[in-house]
Amino acid sequence: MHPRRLWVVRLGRRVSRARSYSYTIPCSRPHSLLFAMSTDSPQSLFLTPPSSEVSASEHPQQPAGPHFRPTSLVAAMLFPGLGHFIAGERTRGLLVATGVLGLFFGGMFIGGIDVIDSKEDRIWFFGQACIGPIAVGVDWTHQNRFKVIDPESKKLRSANPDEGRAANGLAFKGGEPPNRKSINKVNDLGTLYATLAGMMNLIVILDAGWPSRRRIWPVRKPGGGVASEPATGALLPTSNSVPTLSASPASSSPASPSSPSSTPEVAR
Amino acid sequence: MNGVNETVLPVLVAYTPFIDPINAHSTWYLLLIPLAVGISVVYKAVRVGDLRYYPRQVLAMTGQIVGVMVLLAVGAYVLIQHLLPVIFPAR
Repeated sequence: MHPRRLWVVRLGRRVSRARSYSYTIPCSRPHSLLFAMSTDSPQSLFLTPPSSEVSASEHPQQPAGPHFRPTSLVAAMLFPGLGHFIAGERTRGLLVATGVLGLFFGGMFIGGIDVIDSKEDRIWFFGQACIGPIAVGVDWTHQNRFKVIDPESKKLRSANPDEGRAANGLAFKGGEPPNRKSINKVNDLGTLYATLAGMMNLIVILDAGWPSRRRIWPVRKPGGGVASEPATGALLPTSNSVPTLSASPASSSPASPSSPSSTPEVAR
Repeated sequence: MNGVNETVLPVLVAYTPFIDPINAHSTWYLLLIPLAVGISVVYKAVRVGDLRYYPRQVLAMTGQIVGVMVLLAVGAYVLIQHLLPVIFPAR
């Protein structure tokens, strides 16, 4: 067989094997770590992991496997990090909220409220809107409290530097504008901050609804030492879904840890 | 009152955080670092399984993002300032 073709075949086998080995956790003996849990029979095989290696606070005991969490999905859409928070991953939710809101309001701090604009920067606002009601509220405030109505066209627009905003929203010459428009790099960066916040929150929303497997570092060496952080760490089921592990390693499953054929490809 | 205060004070007085932009036109590139930090904070919060390693992972990813941005900037500079004039000399 051609070497390249052979490589493709080997890669395909690796992928299929990795899929069958759902979860691995780090341990001094990687071969003993593998435990497979299919969604069909979640109770099929259990192992007891070393308790010191899994943070119990972040991994409350729940049934394993990626599963749809509709409540978390809706909550994550309403407020960044709320989906993870109500799912029990409170630290993770707080970190997400800090990061997403930090980026969003950091963008507003840099470029002013002008960077959130669904009328003049519509494409960018599509990304920013992934923050949820906060972005929509800021945009509503911008449109209705800071923009002026052009006396001629009767359309909303940003006030010029020599224009003020009357109580009815009409622009008039000689006043102070409600806000200053950001220009140049400052506007670019502010818009980028806020849009990236929305894009990152989209990832968070998807993860809240359909939790992914987490990576954990470092992977333990077979000899007992700790390997330096690898590019690909071992995979852990969703952080709040470490399987309820009992002390019956069961045994006869084809993915039994004692089986020499159950090499944890994922953990490599 | 000297000339500096006459020009700077009205601007400072009018500034409202989160409403008006900051004056970072000369140091805008430094703002890329907190941007990289923010992206790393969110991504690693979702990705890292054991949060004991979270700070280190955030630092590593921030360094990777900033490093790649610097490399891209250097590459673009070399390409535009040095290589392209050699490949396509001005007539």
